[in-house]
Amino acid sequence: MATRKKSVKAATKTTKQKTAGKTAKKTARKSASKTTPSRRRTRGTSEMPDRIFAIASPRSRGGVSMFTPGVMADAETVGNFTSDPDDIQRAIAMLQDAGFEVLQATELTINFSGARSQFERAFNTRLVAEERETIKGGGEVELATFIDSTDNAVDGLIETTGTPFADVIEGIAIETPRYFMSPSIFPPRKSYWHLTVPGDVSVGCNADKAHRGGTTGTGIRIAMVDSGFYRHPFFEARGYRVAPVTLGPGATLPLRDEIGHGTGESANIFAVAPDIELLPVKAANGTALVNTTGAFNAAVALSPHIITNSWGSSRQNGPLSAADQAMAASIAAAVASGIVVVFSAGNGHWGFPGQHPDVISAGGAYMSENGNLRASDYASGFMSNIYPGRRVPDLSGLVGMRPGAKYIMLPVEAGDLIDTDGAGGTHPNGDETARNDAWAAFSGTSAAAPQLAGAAALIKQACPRLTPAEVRDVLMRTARDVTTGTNHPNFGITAGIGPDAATGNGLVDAHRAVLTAKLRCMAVPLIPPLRPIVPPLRPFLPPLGPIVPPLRPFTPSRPLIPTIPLRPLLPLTPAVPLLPVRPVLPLIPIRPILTPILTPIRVPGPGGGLNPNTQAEDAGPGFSAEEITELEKMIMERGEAP
Amino acid sequence: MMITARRSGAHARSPADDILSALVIVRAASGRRLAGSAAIDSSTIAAHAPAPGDVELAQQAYGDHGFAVGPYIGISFAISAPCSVFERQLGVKLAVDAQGTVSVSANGTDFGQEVPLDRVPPALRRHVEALTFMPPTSLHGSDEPATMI
Repeated sequence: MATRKKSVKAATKTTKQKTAGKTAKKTARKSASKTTPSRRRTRGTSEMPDRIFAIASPRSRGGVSMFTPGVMADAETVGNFTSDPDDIQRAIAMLQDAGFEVLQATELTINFSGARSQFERAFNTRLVAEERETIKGGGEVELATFIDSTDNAVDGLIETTGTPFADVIEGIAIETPRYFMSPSIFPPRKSYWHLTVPGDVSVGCNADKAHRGGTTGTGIRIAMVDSGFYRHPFFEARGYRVAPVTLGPGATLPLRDEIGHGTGESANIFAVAPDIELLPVKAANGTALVNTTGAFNAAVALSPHIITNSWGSSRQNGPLSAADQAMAASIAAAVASGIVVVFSAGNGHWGFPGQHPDVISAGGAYMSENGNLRASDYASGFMSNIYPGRRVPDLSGLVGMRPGAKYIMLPVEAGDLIDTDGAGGTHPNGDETARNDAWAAFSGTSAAAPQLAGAAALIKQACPRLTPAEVRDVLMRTARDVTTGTNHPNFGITAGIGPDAATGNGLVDAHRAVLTAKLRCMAVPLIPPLRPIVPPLRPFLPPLGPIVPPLRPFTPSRPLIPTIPLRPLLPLTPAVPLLPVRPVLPLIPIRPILTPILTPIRVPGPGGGLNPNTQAEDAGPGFSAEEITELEKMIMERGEAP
Repeated sequence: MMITARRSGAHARSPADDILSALVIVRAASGRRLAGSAAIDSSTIAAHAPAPGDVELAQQAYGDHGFAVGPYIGISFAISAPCSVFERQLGVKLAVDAQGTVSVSANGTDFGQEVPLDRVPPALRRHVEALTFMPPTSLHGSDEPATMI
């Protein structure tokens, strides 16, 4: 080929650079972008391996070689690049005659290997080995050996023009270095202000203190309807519990997260509630969301305690479509059955279902490096036109600022949509990570929803009998007020003292929420107080007659050890069961169970079928409603900073 | 983010073997229609509950016609099948855009995401209030802020 390779020049250039010492090397590494290795980044020549692997393309049926610049083989066009079986056999024979070892043949390509001298002789070319910077496993930029020919401009291509192979083989591709895409368990270090998981998000949500108090989400199951879940080493290394992915209707590939959104945002849950069990429900086919309502229903069918959702549509006004009404009904049924449902409020959207009155609506607050809080200008906040009186959000999680909210460094699947699209650039426009390093900085109210779900899990562990409305109430009452900043410009609502539509009741405070939940659980439940009294009374029933048999000794020695007959006497001191007689006023009105309907709304109770209203046995010792109100006030007035 | 979908081929298409999924909304026993009803929440959902047995009959009908049937929650259940099954059984043409949004048409008329029930065989429309594909939905991560709709 007439075009002389740039790589040779580049190699000369980098040989000079080498003499500049380590500083130049470091600079070159830093400046390396995250794309495929290019010859501009050539670092120098290298030793040629003894065996070189290559792929030959026999003459294609479509008449165009797959190696032609600009030609891309995909599922629709691949048939054009297949070859006639006779051509394939001829190509194999010629390669073998030239001394190559043929390893494999398909209707598309022939995989073979040989020594450098064989390649150079057979294809009348010259091979060079070059050290180029490339991204290896874990996203690190390092040098790797690339083999190239010097007779054309296409990387790694040997042309057959002018050789005896020209009639049967269109071109030869020299194999290129490849690496396991094993992501690092640690996020890449970046100098701009951002949060890490689990540490920074946990501190920001004031969850660390709850964890040290023993409340970590144990026994709570959170379903997350999202783009899927990829088993990133970040999760494995920390021992987080994740169930196999459930595919929603129309979703595919349960082991993949082609977008990366679900994988990344789920790390927010574990940051706040590390011991929950995550139940991922995938609602994506490739990079398209599909039938989110169907996926939500699949999540409900798993009987979780909590469902978190970081997606939605924008609905400024009613009436809702049939599909939206179905979604609204699914949420209502789930909440009525005792499942806590969290939805993101939106990033400038009039978020639906984020404005549904039964959900916990998650907005955004931004925490700066000095710990100051302000409303995120990336997050939605508004008064709903569809549900009159409904303020969105209820409270907020940690969310970044415009333009891109690249705020929380989260694990994703290497090379997925978020990893590649958000990569590079300079913060705040880019996240400065590699395109396939399996880490990306992002947030949005998508991050807030799982944070609130994590906090809700801590509350449910602290007091399992709280209803979804009560969980929301605890979260809202204990949130830290955010008094400055303005939310998304689509709404332009400024935060002030007290609840507002900029951040709702403010930023979630998991520690205070857990303390408050524990207090509420100490209130003696109103509903099933008499049940414990019944079993102890049984031994006194006449038909049992337990006292008689022991009085008839069959042998002289036994009647002296009548262990069983002593038991019936114990229930005579029913100290504990009498407690429920004390009238207790519930702090929060218990949500009335649905009015009778013709067909029950079939939703399994959370946590495997238990209805929260039957869990009152978890109640602790009694406190009066007044006492609890007083204690809650004390918790709130303490006003501790995160 | 508005994280948008990227399917190969940006234009609407009708790939016969693509698995699609829709929602079947079961008719309320009370006669309450969705159209004109207030947005449903936990205080109003009871009015939309179906008559006993209707759900099972509807699910069975769709199962018998080649659809995979999901759990019934709230007022609906999901059905899934290859695009060709939807088109054949429901008498409509379907197109999927780059975001994965399904559009319904028949005889040159565009019906948006909803399947017109009068085109659906009687066995599949009995007990059914609406049959609809999902409107476009976006993830709420970060990237491009949403525009006002």
